[in-house]
Amino acid sequence: MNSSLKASIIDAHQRRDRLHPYEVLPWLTAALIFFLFPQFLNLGAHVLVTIIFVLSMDLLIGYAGIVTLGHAAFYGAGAYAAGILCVSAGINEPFTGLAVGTIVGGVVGILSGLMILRTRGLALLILSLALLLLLQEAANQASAWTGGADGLSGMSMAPLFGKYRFGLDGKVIYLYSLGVLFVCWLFLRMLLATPFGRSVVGIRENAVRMAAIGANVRRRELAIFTIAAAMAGLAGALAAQIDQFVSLNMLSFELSGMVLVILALGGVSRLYGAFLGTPVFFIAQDYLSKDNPVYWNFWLGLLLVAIVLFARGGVLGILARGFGRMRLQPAASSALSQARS
Amino acid sequence: MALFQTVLGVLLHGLAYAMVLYLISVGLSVTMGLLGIANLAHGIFAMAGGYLTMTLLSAQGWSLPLALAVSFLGIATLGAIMERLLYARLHGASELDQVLFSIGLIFIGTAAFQYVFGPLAIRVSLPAALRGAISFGEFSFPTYRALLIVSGVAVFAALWLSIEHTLIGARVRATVENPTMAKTLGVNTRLLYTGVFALGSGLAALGGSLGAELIPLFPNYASVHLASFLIVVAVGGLGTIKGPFFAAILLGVADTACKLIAPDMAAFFTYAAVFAILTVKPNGLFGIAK
Amino acid sequence: MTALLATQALCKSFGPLVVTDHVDFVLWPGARHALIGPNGAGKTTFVNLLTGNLRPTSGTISLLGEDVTSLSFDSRVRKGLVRTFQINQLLMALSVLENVQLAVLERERVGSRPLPAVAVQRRAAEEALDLLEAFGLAEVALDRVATLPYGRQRLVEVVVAMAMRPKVLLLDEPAAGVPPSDSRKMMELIGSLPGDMAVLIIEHDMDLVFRFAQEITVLAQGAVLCQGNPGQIVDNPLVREVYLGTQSHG
Repeated sequence: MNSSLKASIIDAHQRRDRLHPYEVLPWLTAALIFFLFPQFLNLGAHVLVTIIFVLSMDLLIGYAGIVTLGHAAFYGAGAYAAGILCVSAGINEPFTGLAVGTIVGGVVGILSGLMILRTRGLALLILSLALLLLLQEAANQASAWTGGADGLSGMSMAPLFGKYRFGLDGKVIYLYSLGVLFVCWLFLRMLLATPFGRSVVGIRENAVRMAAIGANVRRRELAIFTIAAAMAGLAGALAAQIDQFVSLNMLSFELSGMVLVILALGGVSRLYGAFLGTPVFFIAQDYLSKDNPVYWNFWLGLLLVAIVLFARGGVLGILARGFGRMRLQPAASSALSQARS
Repeated sequence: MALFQTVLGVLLHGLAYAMVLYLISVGLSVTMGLLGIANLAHGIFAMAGGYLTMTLLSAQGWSLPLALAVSFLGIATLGAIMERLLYARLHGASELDQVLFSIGLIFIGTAAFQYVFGPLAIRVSLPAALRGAISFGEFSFPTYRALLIVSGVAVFAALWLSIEHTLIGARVRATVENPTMAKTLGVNTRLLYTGVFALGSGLAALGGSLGAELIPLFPNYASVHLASFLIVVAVGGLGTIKGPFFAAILLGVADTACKLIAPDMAAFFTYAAVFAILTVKPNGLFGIAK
Repeated sequence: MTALLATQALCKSFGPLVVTDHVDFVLWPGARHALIGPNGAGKTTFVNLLTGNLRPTSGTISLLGEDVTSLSFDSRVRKGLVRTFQINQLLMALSVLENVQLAVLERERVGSRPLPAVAVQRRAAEEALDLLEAFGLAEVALDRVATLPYGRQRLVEVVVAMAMRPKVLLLDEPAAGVPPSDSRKMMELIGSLPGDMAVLIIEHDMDLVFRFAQEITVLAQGAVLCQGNPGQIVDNPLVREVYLGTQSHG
């Protein structure tokens, strides 16, 4: 095998980590919405925040293969952290709130991860659910801080960069959320291409194999769990800020379930599944639950069952199967087929 | 004396609640252990059974035993059909797929029941004979709850005897332990799976029906009580008859006691205890390490 | 010369069942050692004890003169004790190249690095490709492991182990499930292992054992029955009785 063929194989192998032109699409769409549909900016900001939350769950479920029911625990923890910081401590600078939410999410993540990740399968599912319900009950009881069942209101955020107020037109919160999402995406895009990111995917595929080449599986899982938790905390803090409200629903099983559904809809472990699944979910919900929310639940359930039985990988999975043949770089694939014949 | 009565009351009321949890969860435990499917939608069977029984009682005016028998058989048949048509396809599917699939079923079930029966909890009409109380001197205990305890213990005894001392039971145990081996030894595992799934669904229907006064029947039943059912299974340990029985008693009595001592903190303590137990013993208190 | 890997009075029991019974075992640098024994002799358990996949009930294991009895599987790997598995343990959804590349990265201790390392990763991929080429697997480098036939996957399993540059390599039935078309390649691969590496092979294929091993240990009912060079083993009446006698081996 000559060296140029080798080089093209290596290139084809490394290609996944490089940016592709189509990756500009989500950002282009976001920009178009900002200029063309100003009436949707409030809704749009919520979609963007949810994408961050879904991304953090994809990191955990899709890339690391750790299936939990309790991911909303970190989202809620981040939301309450940002909310309490603002209402009780009077610190209402947005970026400080985001930082605190991220740290609180990460700390709750590492502490619970130390316990939860010792287990697998059903025990892990239930431990994660128990953690979520535990936090929800704690938030419910600590009403002096959290507002209990009434929710935490009275958050009034300081202007962004000391200049831009969170207005009713949604412009500021939209751009704010978009900026945070962009940073998160950049971070994930980079992280998943690092040796650490690839080793986490390796652990998902076969933890025994990764241990057999010397990886400390437990420690890497704890690391990715903490990162995912911190990102969920960030999303929660952002959600609290743009809503200027935190409720117990942010610590609910239903929310964990909703994010799982979005992920399944868009496509698991594809990064862009979150970008596609979230708007589809919001639009479908809006459209289908207009007449009667019952129908929405019914169709959503049916869709989930159908995805599992017939369309694993969600929308992006279907697309990928369609375009699957186009993956190899032409040079490498033709050279390889020559080498084979 | 008053203290003794309080303790006895907590124990008996806790036990009644525990038996409902047991009836519903035992099927989940055995099917999870046997089929390896995390069926989060198991509560749908309990709910469906409860709705069916209550409809037969109030709308059709049937007697309770007859309504229970029909509900048991009806939901067991439904379970068998669903096992064949749907769950059989999940064998060997990833954990995520199983979770998504069963969450999907919960959504469908919830929507369907809300469509038919409305969003509110339905009224439970007990036969006159069960509305009274049994008294021992100053201590009295509702007849209905006594019936719950008796039925729960009876089901447990029957299941335990048949699993431990009959041929079918031996086959089930062998299949939980090692499906491939059981298959080579001539066990029709396919039939066994369906049968056990049907039985588990039927028992859940029984639990949902009998427990309707303790755990009200409303469309969100399956998702709201999911945690309780899963906790009984996880704490008890997968794939056993005994495990969920004692786990349900533990949970039922502890929950009842907490609600008396510190009503606000009951749920918090329960979840904290579950978290602690599962962290120390991931396979549950009575589970076999796999 | 210090032993690379040694056990002293190693015991493992599951309840009342003794599966490893006071095994003393030494692997010297450059060893070509085979572990054989009838089914149920406890070979796989013994290997699992060596690697740390199982904890012994009593006894000690030392690696390069250091007591590693209480060390985990992955930390023993980092010290140079690498194994392959009886049943393939590969990253099925990833490419053949990436399976080997990840091993190189872990060997270089960069697997936990959460920062971009494009040059390092590229070098690792190049090394992995060279290794694959040496064993005729370069043409499937970009294929997902899952798409390869089982025999080919078996080769990948060994190449991944070699990418770790082990000091001690344990091969658990490398030829099991390998069709004749690939088994010559497997022999070649095993034959080409570096001379200073200590290799322990557990194998049922007696052809492979006698061609490869300079030293053979026979395990029966968890204990060492006897040990010696291939000639001594073939001539040992005990071995004939418990092992060769019961198998229709020519």
